[in-house]
Amino acid sequence: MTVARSTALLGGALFAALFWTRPAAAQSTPTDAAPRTEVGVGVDWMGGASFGTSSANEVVASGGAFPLFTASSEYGGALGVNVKIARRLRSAFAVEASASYSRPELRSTTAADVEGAPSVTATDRLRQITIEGAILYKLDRWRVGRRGSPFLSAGAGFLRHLHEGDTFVQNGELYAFGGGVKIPLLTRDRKRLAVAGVRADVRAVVRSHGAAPDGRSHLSPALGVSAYLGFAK
Amino acid sequence: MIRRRRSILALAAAGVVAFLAQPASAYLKFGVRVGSQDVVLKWAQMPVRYFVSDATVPGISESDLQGAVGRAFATWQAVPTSSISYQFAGVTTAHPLTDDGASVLGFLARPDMDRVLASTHFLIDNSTGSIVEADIFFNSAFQWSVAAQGDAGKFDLESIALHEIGHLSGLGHSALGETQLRPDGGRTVTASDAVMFPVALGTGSIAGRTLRADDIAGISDIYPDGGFAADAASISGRVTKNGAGVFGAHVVAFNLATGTMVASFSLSTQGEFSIGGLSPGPHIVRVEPLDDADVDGFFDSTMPVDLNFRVGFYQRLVVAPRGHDSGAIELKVTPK
Repeated sequence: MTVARSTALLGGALFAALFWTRPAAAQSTPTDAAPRTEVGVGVDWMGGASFGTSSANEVVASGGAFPLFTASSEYGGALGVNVKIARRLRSAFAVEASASYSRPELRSTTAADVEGAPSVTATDRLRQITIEGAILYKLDRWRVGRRGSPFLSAGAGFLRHLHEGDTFVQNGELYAFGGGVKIPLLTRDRKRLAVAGVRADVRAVVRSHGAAPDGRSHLSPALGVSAYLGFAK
Repeated sequence: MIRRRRSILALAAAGVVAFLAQPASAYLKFGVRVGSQDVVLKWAQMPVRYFVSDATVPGISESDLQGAVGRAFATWQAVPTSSISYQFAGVTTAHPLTDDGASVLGFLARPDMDRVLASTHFLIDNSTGSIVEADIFFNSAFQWSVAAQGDAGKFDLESIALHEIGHLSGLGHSALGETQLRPDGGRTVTASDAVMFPVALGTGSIAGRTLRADDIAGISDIYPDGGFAADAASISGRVTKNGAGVFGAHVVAFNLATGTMVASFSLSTQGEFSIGGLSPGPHIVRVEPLDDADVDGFFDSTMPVDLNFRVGFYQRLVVAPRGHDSGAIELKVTPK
């Protein structure tokens, strides 16, 4: 699993969110607490992840490896879109299903060619589709700013990578954990459309298999902003 | 039946008679013209029966020879994606280069061929393109070993037999290897990634006992089995220089997931190439001139092999889909 810079960025974002969070006291609104269904649509950014360096090895007389060249591969970061639907349970918990679409690059940079070939970064623009189920836990006792309602989330799902031309598909799994904040901008008591607001997510996402050449799991930071509508039961 | 003899000299060889297979191939397969068509040279019937000569050399008994070539045959036969099979038919007093319909492997003294460790000779049915007989001789002018861990100063018989049996099965040479030119005109191998590389790794080495991805792709392409034809992918396209096709460019596909290399050549004056037998997935594609082995180990001297261009990589990852071709790419190279 690759951590490095991605984790540092994620840690910084989480720290910022927590820093702005303070106890809610008696600020919770009746609408916010009521069970309801939420739908949302938004944009997100998933950071890159390195797969490390592999070698195109030939064999020497002793049986040892002789690298013809090396290739350092990674997922590039990418913006995407997502849709969500959540059902709040009669507690601080909610269950959520979401789907996302983005176009990250699979990149491989060659180096150390034994015959001096110039280094290139060869790319393949993927179509990344995810379908995820998650549990959200609302931190009732905390607020971000005056109205922001923080939450924690953990989920898992299905990952599909389609390579350029859609001629080759690789599936995998996705695991995510993190948190975020919902900020209601409009609340209406005793109305079917009970709340409208915006939501920000900060998550650590682990992509397993998929187009990763090493077949392993890789950690990336993910940030998301979405608008949501909450419907009373 | 019209028969003609072709010879393929192997391992530090000179004067190879290698004629090209169809463009849709990985590595080099041998081809033969039947009527107006080129067909891939191959055995029509399985198992391929072979005899072992009773001639011996110092340090190698008849059973040593039989054991070494038996292990080499078994290595090729064990490729799960290939249907080729072999059968030991017995020990013979026959000469390896006799046209008798029997495929014979054995030692032969050829001190005049001081750079040829071993050689494979074919008898071909020109009406079908199938191999009728293939003889292999090991040059007893060299020192040989069958020691399990190799023997310094001696060539490993099993490794050389593995290369020659690749020829016997219909494979040509692979250019996946690096060499340095010696002052005497010979070449010293730095490394290779194919048993079918035409220059041996050197005395004492047993690294040549193991087939590499390029060898496996080659034998599986000629004798596909185990879903190979349905699963294997290919990458094709053209190599061009200043807009014109480049003949004889060595194109290597490196699979990011498996870490293996399979290669081929551009085999037309339009620069067309096709690398078959690939594991599906994204590949880095590298193109280089054929400058790590003698050109005549691969192509007839009349063929316009272009060596005047720089090694380079294709700017995109090339995705080879399962059971299909990548779609044509253009590898643009620049003159040296």
